[in-house]
Amino acid sequence: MFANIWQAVISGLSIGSIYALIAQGYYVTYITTSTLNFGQGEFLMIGAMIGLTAYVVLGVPFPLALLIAVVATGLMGIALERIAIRPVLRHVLTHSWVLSTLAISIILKNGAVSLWGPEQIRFPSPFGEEVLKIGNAGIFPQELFIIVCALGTVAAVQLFLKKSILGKAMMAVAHNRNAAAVMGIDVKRMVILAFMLSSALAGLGGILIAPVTFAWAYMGTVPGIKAFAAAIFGGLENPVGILIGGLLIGLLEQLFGVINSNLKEGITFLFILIMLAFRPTGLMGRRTVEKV
Amino acid sequence: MRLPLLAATGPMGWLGIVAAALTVYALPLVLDDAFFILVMQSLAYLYIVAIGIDILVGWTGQISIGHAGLYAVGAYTSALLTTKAGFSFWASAPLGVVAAGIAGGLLALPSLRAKGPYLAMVTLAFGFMVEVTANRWDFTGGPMGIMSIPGPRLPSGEEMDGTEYFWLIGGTAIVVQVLTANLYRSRIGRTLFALQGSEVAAETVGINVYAWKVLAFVLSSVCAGLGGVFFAHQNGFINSDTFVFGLSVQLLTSALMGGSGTLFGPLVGSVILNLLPTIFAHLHEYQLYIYGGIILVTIVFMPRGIVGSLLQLNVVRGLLPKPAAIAPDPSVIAELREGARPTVTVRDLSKHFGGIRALNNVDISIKPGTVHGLIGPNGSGKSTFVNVVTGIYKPTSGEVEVAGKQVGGSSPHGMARSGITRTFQSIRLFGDLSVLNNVMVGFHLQLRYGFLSHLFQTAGAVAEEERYRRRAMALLEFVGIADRAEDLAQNLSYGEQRRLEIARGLATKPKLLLLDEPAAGVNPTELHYLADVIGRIKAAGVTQVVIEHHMELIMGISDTISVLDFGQKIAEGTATEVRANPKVIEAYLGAPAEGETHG
Repeated sequence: MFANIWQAVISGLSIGSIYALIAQGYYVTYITTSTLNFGQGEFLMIGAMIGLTAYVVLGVPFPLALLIAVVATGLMGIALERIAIRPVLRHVLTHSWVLSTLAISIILKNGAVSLWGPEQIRFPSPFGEEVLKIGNAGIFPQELFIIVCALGTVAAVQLFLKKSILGKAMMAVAHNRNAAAVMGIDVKRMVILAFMLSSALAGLGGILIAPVTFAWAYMGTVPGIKAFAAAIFGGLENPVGILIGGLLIGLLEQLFGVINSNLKEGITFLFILIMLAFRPTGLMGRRTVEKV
Repeated sequence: MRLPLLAATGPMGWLGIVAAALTVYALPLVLDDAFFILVMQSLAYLYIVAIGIDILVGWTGQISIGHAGLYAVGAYTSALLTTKAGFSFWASAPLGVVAAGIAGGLLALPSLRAKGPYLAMVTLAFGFMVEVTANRWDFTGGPMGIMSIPGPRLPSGEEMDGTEYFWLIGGTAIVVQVLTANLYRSRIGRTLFALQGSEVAAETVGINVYAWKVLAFVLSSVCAGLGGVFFAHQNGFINSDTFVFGLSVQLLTSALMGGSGTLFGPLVGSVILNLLPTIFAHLHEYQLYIYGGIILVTIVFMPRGIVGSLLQLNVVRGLLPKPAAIAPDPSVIAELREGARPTVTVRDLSKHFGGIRALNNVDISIKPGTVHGLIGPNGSGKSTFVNVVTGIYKPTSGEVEVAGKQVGGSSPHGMARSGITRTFQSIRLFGDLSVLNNVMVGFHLQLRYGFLSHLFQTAGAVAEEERYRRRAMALLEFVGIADRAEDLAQNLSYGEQRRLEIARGLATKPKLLLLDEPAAGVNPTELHYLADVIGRIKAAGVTQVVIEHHMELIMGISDTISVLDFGQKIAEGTATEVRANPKVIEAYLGAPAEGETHG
């Protein structure tokens, strides 16, 4: 029992840090455009499939495969912004972006089936399949790699936003679009950058998680939605809240999975429903009072 | 309303109903094919669900990407009652609808304050919860689902065949569409559209926004439940694989791509999305490309959906029947004077935001029938004052009294009920409603006929609407925009919008009307008109508080002026008194230099 819990904690942290990673992507686009990509999960899937193709099929070394996957999904983010976000930003219907990004995700899923088939494909971990014994719990080295790599990236993204000139420019756009534009910041470019970053983060998540799950066309939907739950839980505009949300949701579902596997899937959503009933803008979200 | 299209009671309406009924009757007879009939059945019940989504999304401005969950509640309830408790379809179906309605009411609770992506998350989480529960719970058959669900039986005891079942679903869809059209053109639709336009403004005319949102959720869920019931008894088998996220997306899409808030959008959207897989059946591998592509193209190029975009075309507009002219009923102006004209007293009112004292122990007594000006430099607390008095902010301490009775601390709709309403510095109209309907929303608290009367368009409800339309017309005439009555509020000029806000405020028959910077952004011609309107409102006997920066205006119209500075009242009196008050001069111009005299 104790070993199970210990194991669940590691798995929870590892899956949770993937959620946190994807959710950071929601964060960067939400603060700059008040929209987010409902197809993040499919970008994760594409990242995994491209990584798989490079690493397994073409035999590219893993770090290079990872780089290829991240760059490719980042470039796809630029296309996403152009096709599904920019045209609908000023629409009469404020919710257009929900459907336009979902439409892209539907197309990507079909594309993945056409290219790679509908089957689940095993993605060998670059760290081998040998189980590490920590205490009496068995842990895959890949899980540790996920935690380090995902959380490291989250920290790097925050450093980028807070310290670099480009990141500061992006935060300025988030803070006040018009003022940023007046100060000579190219708002359009910052928005593109936000979507590029967002998609690349999802792509990275994909190649990290694939060795633990499997790689296949439908692998992205659930992590994409769970990461959305993490972002909402923390408050879309609060990166720290999002990080906590991601880890907490990962832990919660793994720990409840130990008690009863039936609880595992539902618990996240029950949790988020209760949470939003009391705090409608998330745990650490700003409570907005409408100015009149 | 955007499009007063189908008048169920008019001759055109009846013609439409007969045509629809004939179509439903003839379709399975003409195209007598088992598969086709099955497709038509599915189309008809998914169309009912799409109507419900439109009420929630297109009318009320909420979003749902979890409707599959509500649909599942209807389906499972009816399926379980028939298979486990031996109910007949006719008994289980209404219960399935009720269960979905209750689930919708529960879903509304976490949804009330959540907006945008947060609301999307609530509905999405609900949808997943239902799917997972259905999949994991033995009672709902787990992943295997429920089998041998009986279909409805005819009075003869025979089970309905496919054609008869289609007639049942199609007939129900027509009834739902007609009832929805009734709501659309009535007070109910108008109120829901007002929520979409501006929740704050809706509150200030007395609408309990939370309660009406719950209504929208319940109505929407009832439609979803009805669709789910028909689905469950269609093939005699259900399992959780149906009620997935993708279905919620498809349902939302059919409402939006058809044209949300256009009454016939859901029909058009449902027909396209449901026939698509059949038409492109031979392109099985590319089906999702086509589906995704169609969503993307319609969303990007037809933001108002197919019906909505068509209605933007002048050719189509010309074909729509012109609304009949409405004779104004000026008794509404005379009635403004009626009843008690109480003194409104603000006693010791404070509002602190953290350490900032936006209002500090302010006492103001507003004499009945007067124009009370409120001035002060920027940041002096004027806006906070209006927000506290109209219930948008809760005061930190102190109270607002109407005729000596405390009304402080309640919600904006409660304040409206007590007779206090307002206009907004940044205009808040119900943009998708006509100018006339904006005023009609203002009558909210006076209208006596409720949901059921409007659903069935009882003679009383119809007559009441007609009566109030004439009164609304008189108010528009009063503020001088009667000629714009049928335009959308969003198409008015800035000055006209300000006047429309005043007309909407007057419709509530206010004891106190607060005008928050009515002259902001208004050109000199309009300004002159505004002063005139304020004068006429005073003549009609309504007490007004006017917050303004425009000194010439405020000095000219006010009987009494109170001056705020740093959240405190520093002076009060007539225009002449205030103008001469050294404290006021100091607040506006700074302290006089040494040796200088003032006065």
